[in-house]
Amino acid sequence: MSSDWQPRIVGFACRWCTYAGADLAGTSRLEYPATVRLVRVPCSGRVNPSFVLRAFQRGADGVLVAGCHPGDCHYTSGNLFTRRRFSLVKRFLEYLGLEPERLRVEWISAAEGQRFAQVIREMTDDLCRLGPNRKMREEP
Amino acid sequence: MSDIQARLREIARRLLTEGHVRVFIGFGPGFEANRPVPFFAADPDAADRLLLDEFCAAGLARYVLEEVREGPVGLVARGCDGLGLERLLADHRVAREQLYVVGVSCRGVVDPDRACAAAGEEVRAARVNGETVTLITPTAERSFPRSACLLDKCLRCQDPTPRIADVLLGEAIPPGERDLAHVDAVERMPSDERYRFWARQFERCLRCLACRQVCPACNCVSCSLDRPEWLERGTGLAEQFMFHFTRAYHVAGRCVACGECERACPAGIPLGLLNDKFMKDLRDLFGVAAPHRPGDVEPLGKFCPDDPEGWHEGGEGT
Repeated sequence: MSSDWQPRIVGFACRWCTYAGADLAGTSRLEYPATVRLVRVPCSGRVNPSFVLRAFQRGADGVLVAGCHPGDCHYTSGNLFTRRRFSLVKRFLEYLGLEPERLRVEWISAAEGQRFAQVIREMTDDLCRLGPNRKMREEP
Repeated sequence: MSDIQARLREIARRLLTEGHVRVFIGFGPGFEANRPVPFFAADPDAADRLLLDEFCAAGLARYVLEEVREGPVGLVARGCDGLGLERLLADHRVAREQLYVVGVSCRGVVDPDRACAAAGEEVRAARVNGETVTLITPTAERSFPRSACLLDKCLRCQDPTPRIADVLLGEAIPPGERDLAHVDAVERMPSDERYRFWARQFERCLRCLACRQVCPACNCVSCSLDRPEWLERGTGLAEQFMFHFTRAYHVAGRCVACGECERACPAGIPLGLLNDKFMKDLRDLFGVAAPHRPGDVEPLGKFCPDDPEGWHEGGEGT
């Protein structure tokens, strides 16, 4: 692994909160590593667990699933289903051998630009330590 | 068992004669004495060919799905069949009035391969007692521990008697609590070792889809596993992970732990270990006491306002 290797993070961001939070991080000129590729989704409940595994298979080193805080869902309860679902999915992917740091689920509101930047910084640090993901990967 | 078999035939004959059911599903003779096969009795005389012994392995619930289209179905059901039927009923794939369930209590099914290996010769018959199994071969009659003779799914079974029988032959055996300790053993491995463990299992997968075909929870009319945009046909390791992840996740919270997937798998992949991981987490995180018994709403189809965030504590073994 070359020393300038940077991890690739795929972030699934709820368009009502986390996506706006990421926007706020940008307009506030906050610095965070350019390691995340955001995918805007209507709700964190839209994130099919297959998306996460596919992202890892097609080259992601880390995946972030982020949405509104519980109670704040634009659709009332989407993120509460996400909470149950990803509690199971994260543990299951670890059960299959994935390192826990590679998948993160976070609640980041539209006002939490700082939080978004911090999560990306933390993930990038963790992934730099772990190195590229080779598990469950498709052959390049 | 032969007394129960006689009563089973009698009931099946009556149901078919009186026209209550169009077909009665049970077991009939296979090519070998220790491998009976599912048998569909469509006329009263065929009911006399039904048999019920310690080698009747296949789950019968899933057959109901196709048979019921043509009319009411009767069947013999052990605990696992009963749970499968409950799944189909909860999913509204079958109406209760279309079923006539003849319940029997099951103390475990003998795996013919395992039993023949234990006995060292062909096993013609068997008796499952409490903790031992008596295997009868042409030359001897000897007892062995359950773990040396029974199917894996039966060793873990805690539901010997179906809950939804219209008539129960023999005595009911009360259900127990499922032990999920075999999941702990995998959880305790370091993550790299765990990955290699599953990679070794999934590499053997033939993608025959037998696990789906026998599964009472995999009863969807249209299945994403058949759709190339969700799952490619290739059997590279990445696609195998995708397949097994998808299959297990799609039955999470709906699996009835009948163990049919594992029994049907020609490659011997421990699919129950995947299903049971979801069960363990449903139990530990969301307090679902017996996730394998179908209830009103599936655990992933609902939520509580104060559910825990299970992703903070899942990092064991790394």
